Parts: sequence; structure tokens; C-alpha cells
Amino acid sequence: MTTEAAIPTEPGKAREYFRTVTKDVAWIAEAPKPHKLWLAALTVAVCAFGWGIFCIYKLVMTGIGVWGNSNTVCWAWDITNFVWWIGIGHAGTLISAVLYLTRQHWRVSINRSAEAMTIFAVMAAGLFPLLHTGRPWFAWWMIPIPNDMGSMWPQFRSPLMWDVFAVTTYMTTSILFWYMGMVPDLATFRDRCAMQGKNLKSAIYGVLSLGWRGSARQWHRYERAYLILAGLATPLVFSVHSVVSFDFATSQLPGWHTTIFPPYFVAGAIFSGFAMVLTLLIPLRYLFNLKHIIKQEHIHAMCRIMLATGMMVGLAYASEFFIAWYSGNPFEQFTFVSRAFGPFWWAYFLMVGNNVLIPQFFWSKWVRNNNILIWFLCICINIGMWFERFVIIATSLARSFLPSAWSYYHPTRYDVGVFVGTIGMFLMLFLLFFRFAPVVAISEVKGASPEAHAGGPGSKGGHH
Amino acid sequence: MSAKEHDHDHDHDGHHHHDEQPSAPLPATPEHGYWMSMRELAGTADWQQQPSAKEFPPGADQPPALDPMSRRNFFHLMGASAGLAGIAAGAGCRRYEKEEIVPLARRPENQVPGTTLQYATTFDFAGSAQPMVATSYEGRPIHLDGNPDHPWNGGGIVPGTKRHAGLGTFAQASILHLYDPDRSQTPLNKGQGASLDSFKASLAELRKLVDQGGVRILSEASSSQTVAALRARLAGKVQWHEYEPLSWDNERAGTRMVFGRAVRPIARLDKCETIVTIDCDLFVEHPAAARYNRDFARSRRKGGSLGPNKMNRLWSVESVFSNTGALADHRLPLRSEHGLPFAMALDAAISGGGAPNAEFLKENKVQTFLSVLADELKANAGRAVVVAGRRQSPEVHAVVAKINQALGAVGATLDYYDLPDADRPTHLQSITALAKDMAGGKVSALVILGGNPVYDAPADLDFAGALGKVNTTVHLSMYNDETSQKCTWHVPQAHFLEAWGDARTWDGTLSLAQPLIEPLWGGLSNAEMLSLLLGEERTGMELVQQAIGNPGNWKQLVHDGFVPNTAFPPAQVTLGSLPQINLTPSQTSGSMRKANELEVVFHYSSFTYDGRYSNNAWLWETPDFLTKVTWDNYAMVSPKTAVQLGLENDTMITVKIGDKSVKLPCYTMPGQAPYSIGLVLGGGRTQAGHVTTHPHNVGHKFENRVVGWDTYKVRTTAGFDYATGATVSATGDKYELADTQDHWDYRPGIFKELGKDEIQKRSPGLVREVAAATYDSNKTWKAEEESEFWDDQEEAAAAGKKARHLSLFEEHEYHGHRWAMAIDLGTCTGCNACMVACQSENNVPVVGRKEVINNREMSWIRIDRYFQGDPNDPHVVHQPLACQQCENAPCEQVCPVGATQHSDEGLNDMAYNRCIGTRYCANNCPYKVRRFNFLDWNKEFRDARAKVRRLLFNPDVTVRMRGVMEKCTFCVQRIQNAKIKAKAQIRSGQRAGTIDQPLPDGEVETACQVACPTEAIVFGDLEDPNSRVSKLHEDRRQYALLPEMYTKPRNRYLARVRNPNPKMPVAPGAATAGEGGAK
Repeated sequence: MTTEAAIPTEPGKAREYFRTVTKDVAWIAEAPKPHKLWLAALTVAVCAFGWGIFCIYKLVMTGIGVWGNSNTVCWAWDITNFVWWIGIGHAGTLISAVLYLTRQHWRVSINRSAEAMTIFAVMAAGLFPLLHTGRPWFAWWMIPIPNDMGSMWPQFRSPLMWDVFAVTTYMTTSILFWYMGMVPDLATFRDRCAMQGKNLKSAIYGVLSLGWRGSARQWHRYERAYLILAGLATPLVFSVHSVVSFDFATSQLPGWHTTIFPPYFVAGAIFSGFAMVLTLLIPLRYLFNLKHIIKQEHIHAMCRIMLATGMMVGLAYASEFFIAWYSGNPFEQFTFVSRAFGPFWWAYFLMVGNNVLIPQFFWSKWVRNNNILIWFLCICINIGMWFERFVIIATSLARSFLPSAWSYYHPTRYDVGVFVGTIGMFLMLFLLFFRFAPVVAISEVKGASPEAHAGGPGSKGGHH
Repeated sequence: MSAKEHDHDHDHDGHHHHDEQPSAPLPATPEHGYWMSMRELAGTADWQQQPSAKEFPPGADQPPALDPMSRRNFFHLMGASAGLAGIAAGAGCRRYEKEEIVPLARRPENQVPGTTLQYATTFDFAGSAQPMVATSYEGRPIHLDGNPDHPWNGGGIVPGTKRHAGLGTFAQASILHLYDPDRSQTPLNKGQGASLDSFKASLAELRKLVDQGGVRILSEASSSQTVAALRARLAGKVQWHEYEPLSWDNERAGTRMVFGRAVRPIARLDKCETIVTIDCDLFVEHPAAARYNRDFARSRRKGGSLGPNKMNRLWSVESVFSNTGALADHRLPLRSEHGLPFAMALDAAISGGGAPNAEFLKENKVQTFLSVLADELKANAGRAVVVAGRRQSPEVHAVVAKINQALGAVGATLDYYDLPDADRPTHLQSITALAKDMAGGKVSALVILGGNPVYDAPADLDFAGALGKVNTTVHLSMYNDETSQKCTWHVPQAHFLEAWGDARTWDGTLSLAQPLIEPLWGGLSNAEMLSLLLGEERTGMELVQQAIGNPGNWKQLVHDGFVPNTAFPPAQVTLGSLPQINLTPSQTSGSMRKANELEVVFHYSSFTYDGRYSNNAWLWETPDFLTKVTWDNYAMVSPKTAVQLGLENDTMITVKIGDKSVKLPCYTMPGQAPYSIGLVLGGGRTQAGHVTTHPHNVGHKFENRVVGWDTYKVRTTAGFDYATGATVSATGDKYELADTQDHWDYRPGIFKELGKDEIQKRSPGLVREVAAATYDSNKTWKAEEESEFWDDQEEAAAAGKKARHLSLFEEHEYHGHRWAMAIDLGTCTGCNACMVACQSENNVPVVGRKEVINNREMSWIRIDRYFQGDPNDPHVVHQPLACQQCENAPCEQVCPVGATQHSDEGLNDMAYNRCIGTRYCANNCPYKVRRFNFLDWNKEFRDARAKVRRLLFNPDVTVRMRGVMEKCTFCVQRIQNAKIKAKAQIRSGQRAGTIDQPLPDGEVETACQVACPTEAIVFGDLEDPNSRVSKLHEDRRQYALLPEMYTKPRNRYLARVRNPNPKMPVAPGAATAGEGGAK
């Protein structure tokens, strides 16, 4: 890290630095009044969420017909949103688990918020498989509950069943990982509240911190458990989106039926996940004065990952076209030509433009230092990745085997409403998290900082 | 139960309840619509004497029009929500009658709860009888099929198979009107509710007028002998007029020209090697369509009625693309006005003489067509026939008669029949005379039997205005329609399933109609109305019995539905000379015209016929066979003309004829004759009922939107069949037509032709065809490519290959049945009969115009059509498509809850109760035949007002709720019923065998199969190697749709054999079309 030289190495100063880190993170939760911008953002998010709830009410009471889906395009925004949200979740797990195992210590400044983002994104994603069913009150039939009705048992050949297990496993592991990582910091909050005489808050944090005392024994157990969970979560990064991609890959439809999907979807998920992390953290970092914890080089690193995964996604787009041509399958060939040049051409070019061309800006160091521009580019990538899923789902369905069934797709206000509602829910939860929970893994930042290894020659390394 | 078995079952006991007391009068029907108890319905209770029963005169509490927000409807809705619908729908608040529940100790004869009975009956449709068999479930008719025993359209097409008869869409869908809550429920006097008794009281005055003369009767076309007998009794006192907006009277006028008297030609298509139609649709519009469909199929089949290896050849000359043109081997798009010079030229080419001097005849394409056709006709003399259509002028029919005479058709391929009413004026003359007399004050009273002349009479007659000058006008009609509202009296007409009657098929065979249900709203039949007018009050049955005399055992006749050997006598005709024919300048022009010299052709509506089915949601949602549009009528313009006139698809245009004009949407119809505008009739009815006139959300304001556009506004006596000198202009407004299949140039992307080119590329593989010459000469030709993979041990061994298991999953094993279907594309005329039959049988919901635009139509079977080649003279292929019941069904593997499963009889079953609606199955279906209930399509039936519609539901088929997937089931309820019946018969010793033995071939028939007039659909059991379907699955014409998907569909198509004349040039595009299969 480039700024290491500036960091004091004496033990006393290190203690002071640790105190600063604690204070800088804790003040957000301790401030008596929230930031005005935070309040404004929360208002917007709650309104969007409320509108979404109204749209969901209409949807459940009236039927899928309030959406634009048709007998030709049976899935559209619903599954697009599902895959998009699941993809966004991936960055969190990647940062917390994969980067942890690979000893990427720069992760510590962002892993907590990225994990929170994962959980909220998976919550948003999980709504769609439920809501997109024609009879959501029976969606529990997808769960293998032993019962006395004999035939009431799921059909395990269906990729949708695999989805159920993949997503619920992912959700559970992510929550455990996130929450367990937060326990020492929650204890810190508890102690600070107690010192400040805020007894109620202290009690709440006390319950949440599960009796954490910070003993060496606890730390030892904690480190072990964290490593195990990281090990468990790592395959999930790859498996969840692979399984989600099976919804398409195992089907018959040209444009869906392709073996490239698992790696292609995982790369895309990480790509969109990092874009979302930056979309959230760049403004919040300014707002809550965390620039010295979430440093510019962390943003640099994320930009580089986006550049890499963006090009993987671009390679996948090209491979799809090549394979369609190489396969000699006329249905496959037409699907891809029609994707790019047919009635949905505009969606295709939004996808390629945002996902392949936009990340190329990250080659430039000037761009990587320009946070406003980065933020704008990340929004573009978020949009592009949404369109990637839309293009795959809608264009393939709209022009499948029999031309007599071809059609087009128009969203309705309820398609938009439910999606906006999930964005509102996501932002609302994230903003609440930012205000009341330790948004940065305090203990880990301390552990990863050079001060923790003061005097040692190998102070660059972590303590793990 | 089929009609034939019915024969055996009930030969000796009465065939239905109405037989039991032939002399008893029909019980009085409750005067209000709904009834509360059987006693009330039967009219036997003392309840009619109660003061409360008369407290409110029927209809007094309701405004006449069916305003959706009327007080009456408000109360209906209130009633429904309070669970008191029955009371609210009656008159005011009443308590339920005290009812006694009596055990049904002795079962009424023939009534087995839960089973259906079938009765033969007849529907007089625009003057042509449609013999049918009505299926009745516990006293309510629920389904209509053709009568297979009727000599007119019955019998088998393939020798040795079960007797069959199809039934057209209009006849089938007419059952929907029986339970239509919009049907008129009470007589109206000057718009105010009245009772039938008060109407009867008012008849005394009318009878006085009758005696004074000056009373006229205007009737819809009727072939009923009962009506004719009553008419004869009124003759001398009242003048009788008959009018049909879609009339075949030009044929009468034409034959009168050459034969001296009007006779009716009926072709014997089963004997024809060459069939030529001039602007004539044989298969849907023609009154003889039922016979023509079957006879055509008989001679169309290779090795059918023409002998080994022979098949007919169909030539079609027409302006508007019809089902006949789509099936033709050679089709010439020609303006209707050119029909006459074309016929004259054909006559000249056959019998010598000078061809008319017309520009278009010199055009290369027409010349070749004419000369090759004439040569073929001459060569096939005695085995050929020419048929001219309704629209063509009397002169064309005269010339055609002459051609047929020259070809030696008469007696061989064509019969003429003498008509009992040969001397009557044509419909057009009759209505013109009536309107003039009314306007001139010569009419003191007018009784209108059915029909809707205010809506459909020629616009220049101002029928409504003339009607206003008549003091007393009575309209007997099923609906309080445009005409009823202009009349002083409106009387509800009985539905044909509610009344006794008779009618003649086009050849004159007398057919009987029997009621299957009491009149729901107390209507009268035409005959009963005439009887009242004569001052007597006889029941319908008495009237019919009186009219037909005593031709045999009445019970037997009613059971059979027809009186044998009653066809008209064949006419002996001698050809006179043709009158001098003068061609107009536009008839001698070329095929190019100026923009202000367009021709407008009035075309029947495949939705409403002439407007009479306007309140029929089934028909509105059955897509037109060629345009695939639903819920609208439109103007059809050829693509070339559209470009030249600056018209576009899905835009509004103004069609102007003389000083009259109409605005309606434009549909660019490939194959429409250039400079000819096909104007579809039958839309824009303002007083038809809720289906046509419904509140429509327009910019957050509810307006009454009317379905379609009233094209009668521009139809005059001068331009009754087609008008010339018309102009068309674009209004600049957009209007989206609700079509179920993409437009020709639908939704281009960057590459505009991308989709269109792909359709051209794909469709020959989807709908396979073969030229008859190839089929004959190349005996190894097969429609299906030789498979590279063999998964069946036996088949592989037979082919000398090694079997290989290809599927991820184990193959299914069957013991007992393996249901399958075969659809012959060669004889499918695309008449949509299968679609309506399926709708009726399987309770398929209607979704409405908006949802069709949203691509959510629910039809379980659809008919795909693809155009190929030159858009201005395309080749059309079509393909009925329902669930293919795949062996390796992609839908089954992806359902997370196992709601769609393979049955042990090979069906792809759908468990609605289990479905949670992920729609994954529909995504994975390569045929896109699955239908999702996006909304609650049956919501309307919870409305108290529409409750009566529920009586039409087939109780054997679940009514699906929203959120579940559905699709064709191969009529699984029919399969199960047949099995149950067979088992019961075997157990009771009526049938030999063991209960687990398979059903004999032909015992189970799907609804679409029964409805198909050409027997193009065959259903059966593949486990039975001798079944028809097994044989067809081994025919070399058979192929699977999308075989590369390895779904192994249980439905196979039989490639269409086309029979082009080798001397005709091959049209560009047709070359690929002819060679769909492997070589």
C-alpha cells in the first residue's frame, strides 16, 4: 500500500490510531441526529418501497396479468430482476469469503457493507420467484415438507427446485457470515453505549453481541468459525449463479440452451455486484467521512475487478455468437442475429455498450481517481447488467421455434413498480444498516492495519 | 354418447321428454327471467295466482337498454354480493318459495345423473339447415356437433370408418346465445317492459289490419316448411318480404336468365377432377359448405373417391382471399368486377366464340392461367365443375351455367334443383320494394321475423326512416337490437334449441328441430309468432307436425333429425341463349387502376357472419383464418395497392363510395386483388349486447366502445355485392388490430426483413408439402427425414441400425393405451371449426381484445398460417396446432411441483390444482401451446347477471382459476367417459370382453375431431396396430413438428399433397414450398 510510510509505527500512536478507527465508525451510529442527506435518501427509499408494496398488492390480488408477460414471453421483468439482484449479491460474498481466503486485506474496509448489500439484494431477489408465480400463496409447495398428502412433493428434475435450494443456502450462509463477523463490533458498540450512559441502546447491542467479551478464547473460536464459514461461502459464489443459470441452460430454448452460462453468469454477477458496491459506497463514504478507511486504492482495486469481469462478460457475448454460428443450428443462429438486430436491438446495444465498452474507461488511472465519473460508470454497468438478463430472457422467448408464436414485450407500470419497490426496499435496509450497525469491520480493519504489526519487518502481512 | 349408439339404446322407448305428451301445451314460462324452483319453471305451482307474482309487471323495473350502469345492473351486483342473486334478479324483494324436496324414487326415463344425452336437431342458418346433434347434460344443452346420420353432410370420407359430420363455426357457436344474459327477456312496447299477454292482446288490432290488407311481413331467409305453410295461409292478406344481407339470390337470377326459371346448382365435388371457383368460398361461406367440405375431401384424398392415385385440382379466382383460395392449387387474385369478363373469356376458350375485349385478359399471368385452365377443363369434361360465388352478378352465374353445360357437368358433377319458391323476388328487390312502400305510407303494419334490417339493409334505403312511417311495427328478435328499438313492439325470439322447427338443407332435405330446454326467457319461434298472428295459439310441435304432414313415424323422425328422401327434385333444364352482356369500362380495364377507381368488395365476417353473431365472444375471439385478426372488422388492401395509396397496416383509413364513407382499420392482406378493397361486414353494432358494446377505459373515462366498424353504412342497393369508383385515404390515426399471429412485416429491428426472411426459411419445414407428381413418381419420398438415431429396438432392427438410448430419462412404458393424433394438412380447410369445438368442450375462456393484443389468448388449438413467396400473390400454408403430447415432454421436466405429468396412457396431463404458475413449462415448450391464466378470465361469471352463462359449462372439465397453466388434454374427459361406459357395458353383459381390454378404434373422439368437416383430424390408440391413427403414423406423408427437439410428439402431421398443373409456371417462392420433406 502506498500510504504505509505515513502511518506511525510506535505502539502508543498505534493505540491512538485504533481508537480513531473505532470512533470514526461508531460515530455514525452514535450521532444523536442523522445526516440530512441520509434522511432524504431514506424518505425516497421508503416511498419507493411503499409504492412497490402497493404494486405487489395489486399483483397478488389481480394476477400476473397486471404485468406485461404474455403466453409467448412468459418470463420478463420478474426473472430479469431476480437474476439481477442475485448477481448483485455476489460481490459481497466474493469480498468477504474469496478475498478473505486469498488474503486480500484491502477487503476489510468494504466487506461489512458489501455483505449487508448481499443480504439485502438476496432478499430483493427472493421476492421475485415468489411473486412471479401465478398463485404465490401456494409457492411453499416448492419446499419439500413431509406431509400426508402423498403426491405433494417437489419435482427435483426442475432447475427451479435447484434454485430454491441454492438461493436459500446462499441466504442462510450470507446472513450467518455477516452477523458473525459483526459480533465483536457490536460488542464494541455495546460498550461505548454503556460508557455514554445509553442503557437501552447498550442493552440492544448487548443482546445482539451474544455475550462477546473479547477473550483470547473467544477470538480463537471466532477466527476458526470465520474461516470455516468463509470456506463454506466460497463455493457458493460460484454455485449460486451457476444454478440460477441452469434455469436457462438446461431448457430447450435457443439463446438459453448453452453450456457457457455458468461461468458467464458468475462473471457477470461479480461484475454487477462490484458496480453496486461502488454505487452505494462512493456517496456514503463522503457522507459519513470514511475516506481514510475506504481509501481510493480500494476503489482502484474494485475498478480493476470490474474491468476484468466486464471483459469476461464481453468474451462471453462474443463466444455466444461464435458458437451459434459454429453450431450450425439455424434456430440458435437466428436467435442471436435477432437479438442484436431484431426488434430488441436497442436492448442488446444497451447491454453491450454498458457492459463491454463502459468498463474500458477503467484502464485510465485518471478515471479511477475520478469518483463522480466512477459512480456514473457504475450506474451504467448496473443498467447494462439488468439489460443483459432482460436480453437473454425476453429476446429468446419472443422469437422461439414457431414464428406463429412470435411476439414482442411491453412492460406495464406494475412491472416497473415492483422493481422500483425492491430498489426502495434495498436502499432502505442499506441506509438503516448504515445508521445503526458497524458499517466497517472495525476489528478487522485494525487487524489488517500496519499498526497491528508495529515494529515487525513483515508488517505488510496480516495477522492471520 | 354418440348419436349412433343412441340409436341402439333407445329405439323403443321415447327419445326425449318432449315426446311423452305430444298434445300437451308447452308449460307457461315464468315471465321474469330467473326461476326458483322446478315447480315455478314448469308453471304448475299455485304461485302464479299469488298477488305478489303480478305485483311488478315484468320489465317494469328496468330501462329497456342494457346500460351497464343501469339501476337494474346495480341491483344485480348488489344482489350478488349479498348472496341473494336469485331474489334481486326477480322482481323486487321476495321470499323464497316454500319448496318441497321429493326423493327421485323413480328415475326419469333416459336420465342418468352425470351422463349426457344427445338429440338430433336442426338450425336454420340464413335459409340453409345445419343438421346437428346437441349434447345435453341434465337438461341443459352444452355442445353442438354435426349430425353424422343426416344424408346431407353425413357419412364417412374414408370408407370403412365411423360415420362423421363436421359443423361450422357459426352453427357451433350459436349455443352461446342460448345462455346469453343479454338476450331479450321480456316483450317491449315502445321501449317499455310489457308482458306477453299484453302483446297477445294487442294482436287483435293487428289482425284487423291484416284483414284490411296493408300489413307486411319481413322475414329473414327461412327454409322452414312450417313457416312456408303459415305463410301460405296468410297469402293474399299480407305481402311477404324476405331479406338476407348475404344473399345467394344472384344464383337464382342467373339461372333464370339461361334456364327460364330459377334453379339451384349444387356441385358434386367428390366426382370432380377439376374444380374452378370464381369469387366463391366453398368451405365456409357457401350454404352448401357442409356437403362441399366433405365431398371435396373425398376427391382430394389420394386414392379417394376418384380412384387409385387420383386427386382433384382446385383453381380459384377471387378478390378476397378465402379458405378456398388458400387451399387452391392455382389461385388468381382478380377484382370481383373482373369476374364477368373472366367467365366470358373462359366460356369462349371452352366453347369457342370471341373473348371479351378486356385489358386485363391480355396480361401474361391471366392469359396463361386462362389457357391452361381451359385446356384442363376440356380434357376433364364430365369430371369438372365451375362454381361462382354469391358476390358475382347474375350474368356470371348465367355464363357459368353455360360453361358447365359445355363441360357436360350437368348430371355428372353438377345437379340443378327446382325450388319451391322459385318465383320470389330477390332479397334485394324485396327489401327495396318494402322500404319504398313504407316510405310511401303504403304499409299500415310491419311484422319483422328475426333479422336486423335497420342495421343491415342497404344504406340508401334508409330503412330506419321508413320504419318510422309505419304505425305498428313488431320485431321478433333474440335481442333488443337496432331494429327492435325502432319498432313499436319487440318480442323475444326463442333460440333454436328452445323451439320446435324444421328447415331444409341446401339440397332440400327436410330436417327437424326439437327443443332441448324450455325457453329460458319465454321467447316465441317464428312459426309460433305467425300462428298468433293468424289468431290461433298452437304449440310449435303442432305447427311442425301439421306442416310436414305425416311422412313417417314422428318419433323416429325427431330422433333422426330429418325426413328421408325429401331433397328437392332434380330439375330438368334446357339451356337458353345468354342475354346480351355489356361490360362497363372498369370491367374491360387492366388490373392497374387509378386511386379513385377502386373496387370495394363486401365480405362476410368470420366473426359475426353478417352481424348477427355480434354478441358472440367465442366467434369474436376465433381469429380469422387468414388475417388472424380478432375482435374487429377491417378493410383488406393488397400490399402493392397499400404502398401506392399510402396506406399502412394498423392505421385508420376512410373508404368512400359515392357520398357515403366509413372509417375503419386497414389490414394489408397478401393476395388481395390489386385495387380491390375487401370490406368485412358485421361490425360496429351499437345494440347487440355487452360483448360488442362495452364500457371501455379511454383515457381514464369510461366510454361505450363498439367492437368493429359499421361497414353497412357504405353498402347501397347499387353496390350491394361490390361497388366500384370508390376512394380510400389514410386518416393518419393509428389503430392496433388484435391479431394472434404476427403481421407480414411485424416489428422490424435494424434489419427490417429479418423476421420475415426467417419465416420464409422456416415455414416449409414446419408445414411440409409435396407436389403430387413427386409424391407419385418418387415412391421413396418421405415427409420426415431419415433419423440418424434409433432409440426403439424394434424400429432400429427393422432399419438395420443399432438402437441407442438418447434421452436423459428412461423411456415411458405403456400397457393399454397410447393416445395419439394425426392431422392431415392436405384436407384442412382452416375453417376454425376445431377451435370453436374445443372452446365449447373444454370451457376455454375468452380474454377480450386487449388481452389478445397482449398475446394472452387461451385457445387450446390454434391454426398457424404462413405466407410464402410474392406478397401480392402468395402461397398460404396453415397448420392446426394443439399440444403435441410429447413422449419426451420438455414441460414435464421443468415443473418444480410436478403439476404436469406423463400419464400411463401417454397423455401429458395437467393437474390444475397442483400448478403454482411458474410458467416454466410454457417457456420450455417448443410449440408454445401452453396457455396461462394471467387474469381471472371467469370473473364475469360471478356477476349475478351472467350466472346463466354458467349453464353452458361442460361439467366434466374443470373451470380453471387464475394463475394456473392449461393446454390441450386430448379431451381426456372423453377418454375417461368412454372407458367408464365400456367397462359398465362389459360388466352388465351388454358388451363382450374383459374390463381391462383396450377400447376399439373410433370409440373415443376428441371435440376437434368431431367438428372437423373434412376429417382432417384423426385420434386413436397407437397400441392398437390396426387403428387409423397407427396406420397414419406410418404413412409416408407423416412427420413430426420440430423433430430435432427430440420431443417425440404424439401428434403427427400428414404433409399436404399439392396438385399443380404441370403446365403452369412455378411461382417464385413456391419452389421451396413444394419440397418441404426429405427427398
